Amino acid sequence: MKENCILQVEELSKSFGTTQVFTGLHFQVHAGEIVALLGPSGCGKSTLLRMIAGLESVESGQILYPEDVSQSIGYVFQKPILYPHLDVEGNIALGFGKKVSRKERQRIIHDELTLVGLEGFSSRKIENLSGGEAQRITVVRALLNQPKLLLLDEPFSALDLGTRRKLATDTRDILRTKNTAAIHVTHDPEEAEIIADRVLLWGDITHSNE
Amino acid sequence: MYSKSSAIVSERSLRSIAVVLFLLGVSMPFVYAIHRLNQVTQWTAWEAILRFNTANGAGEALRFTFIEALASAALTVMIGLPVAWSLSRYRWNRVRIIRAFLAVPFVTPAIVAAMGFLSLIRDGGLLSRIGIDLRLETGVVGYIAEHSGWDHPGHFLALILAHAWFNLSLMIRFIEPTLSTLDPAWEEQLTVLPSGKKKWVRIRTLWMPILGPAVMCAAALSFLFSFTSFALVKWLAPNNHTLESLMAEAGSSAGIVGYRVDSSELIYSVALIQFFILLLTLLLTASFQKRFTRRLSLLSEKGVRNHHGRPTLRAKITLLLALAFTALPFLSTIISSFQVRKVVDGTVQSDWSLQGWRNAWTGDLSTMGANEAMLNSISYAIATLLIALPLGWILASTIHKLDSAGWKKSARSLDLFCMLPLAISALMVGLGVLLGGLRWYPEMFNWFFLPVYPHVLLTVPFVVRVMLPAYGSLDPRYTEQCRLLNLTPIQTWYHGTLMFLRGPAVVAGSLTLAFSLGEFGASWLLVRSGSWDTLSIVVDQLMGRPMFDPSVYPTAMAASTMLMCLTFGLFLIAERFRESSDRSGF
Repeated sequence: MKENCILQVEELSKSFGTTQVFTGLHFQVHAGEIVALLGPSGCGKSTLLRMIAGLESVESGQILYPEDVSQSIGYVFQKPILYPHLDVEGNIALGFGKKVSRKERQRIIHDELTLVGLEGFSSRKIENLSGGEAQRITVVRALLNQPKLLLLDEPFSALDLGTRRKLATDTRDILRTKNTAAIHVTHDPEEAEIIADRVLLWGDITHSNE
Repeated sequence: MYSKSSAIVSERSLRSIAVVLFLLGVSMPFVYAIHRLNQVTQWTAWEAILRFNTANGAGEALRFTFIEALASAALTVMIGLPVAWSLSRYRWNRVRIIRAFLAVPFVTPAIVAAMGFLSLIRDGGLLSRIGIDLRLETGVVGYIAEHSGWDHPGHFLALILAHAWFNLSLMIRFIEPTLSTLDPAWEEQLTVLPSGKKKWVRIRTLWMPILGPAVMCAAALSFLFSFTSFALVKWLAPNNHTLESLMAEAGSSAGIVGYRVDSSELIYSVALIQFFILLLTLLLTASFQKRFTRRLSLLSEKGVRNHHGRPTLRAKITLLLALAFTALPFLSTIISSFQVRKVVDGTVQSDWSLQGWRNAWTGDLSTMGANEAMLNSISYAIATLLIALPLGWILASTIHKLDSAGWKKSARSLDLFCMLPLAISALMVGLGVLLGGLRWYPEMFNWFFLPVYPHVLLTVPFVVRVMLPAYGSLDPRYTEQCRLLNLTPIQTWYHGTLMFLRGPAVVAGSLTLAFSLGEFGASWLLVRSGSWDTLSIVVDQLMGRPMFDPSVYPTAMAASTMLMCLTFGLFLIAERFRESSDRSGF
């Protein structure tokens, strides 16, 4: 792996049955860098993130990262996944990688919620959250354990334009504050410009099927 | 021209009549029965409960009933959970057929199930051949009995195994719809979170909240059905009494002033205690079911199955074992119906023969032929269908209407009341009709169609449970559109409701027919003439005969196979029309 590189994808291919999703995919991400992957719907962007997170198998090619990174990858799904039987604090607490005292836990969660403008939301029920609030909480949870790499799978696509722009800016600020590298997948060029240090076009990093 | 107001009035009248009829039908026999027992024993209901322990054998029966019902529910969960998990998670070929096959035991008549397990555990049956002798309790089972001081562990094991077999489909029906449509993102989200790397956290955070209420619901219903099981206890654990079998034994001599007052005391105490235990179980089930309705986001079943892919080896083995477990009692019954015992040179051998089938079909002087018994069974089943289906349908639509009109409490109360016959076992319903009817109108015991009464009470809850979710999924815009087009109420009902409820109605109808055909406890008590015997009763009578006649056993098994085939045919029809979104649990 190249120096300062946190992720290196080489000649990666994926197919489902007889359908080839992509071939020869290649790119790299450096430590602390925010990369936006811009491509049309259905091109395989989410599949790529799932492969990086280990949710899908790698058929050919390779995904390389330093050993400490493999255990430290955060993931924010397109749709916020918050467990309705837990309150906001309970959901965020799932992001702790180690045992934390109750007091410490409350303090950290309070601080993190304040950072994303959701102060006082700890005991809120999940069903009472708006789409934007729920997505902010999933971002907080994903960052709680200070991952080296955060994967954002079109997390703002279901929100209205204003909220999308605001959340993209807030997320970028948080990532920069925490110096966390991220891959942000989107099909919205403006959002990609707001959030990313570097924008990769899907066509430039794959061998086109057509 | 028609008047909208008069149509509304007639619709309300119809609903009111149905509700009142059902309320009276359920409560009258019991009010009369309690009154009669009160008169015979001179006890109040409270005294009857307090003196429960003084009733002969009641304490011991309660202990056994509790233990066997709890053990059966636990075994059902232990067997059912991995089966439901394996069936729900993967992309199986012909999943509907597998699911339907695993659900067959639930509609199998209890007497057929008893015969199936009896043929498996009897001397020479499959289990005794592989060294597990649950009937005569020799070998390992005998060793356990001898060294633990446990009376008849083999009988107990056979009974809870049969109950687990019977209730296996409950686990599948409750768990599979949730698991097979659960968005995989919920699971994946946990696996990418630090805490979710631990298996215990995944179980606690995801699987317990999602599956817990469904498992508890299925376990509570398994407990309820095992608690009130009669035919299986009668034939698989003949040395033990449950509350149900105790009541059955004393039932015929109860309720007569000045005669065998101890029988009336026993029935009075036991019935009340059983009623409260079952009511409590039903309330618990309702509360689990309420929590069960809070679901996480669901996807299409096909999409989720495709996501998880082809079944793993472990899943294949689990399902294969479950299919074998389901099929064995049936196969054993069928094979036994063709085998006649004979002694050659002092050793007992089996010969293949159709003698059992011939005897079963034609009958003899003491037992009715299967042809006539089948006609009786079918007559009762059709009469039950003609009353229970419309009645249950109207009740379900009334509950739905009350609920959507904001009368939530009334809807819940009526719903709970409709489930009440389930809290009163088949035998208790039969006893209620027997004791209540004796006082109210003794002439009713000359009616051929008397068993239809308890059959209707016992099947209406199932009709309501199938039709109610179907009503919930109706799109009101179709009815509104009919009204806007100025169609008559009948046309509106036809186009806006009936056309969308055909499938669930066929399911409810087929299940009603199947349950009525296989009903045993109430018919066993109420059928007062040999010429009214049903197939279930004929099987029971045949098995009660001395077995020195080698054709008795295959004859009983042949009659049992006939009943089994009749029920399966109906069940297949029900499954053909069952929608994949059916969440009725039955």
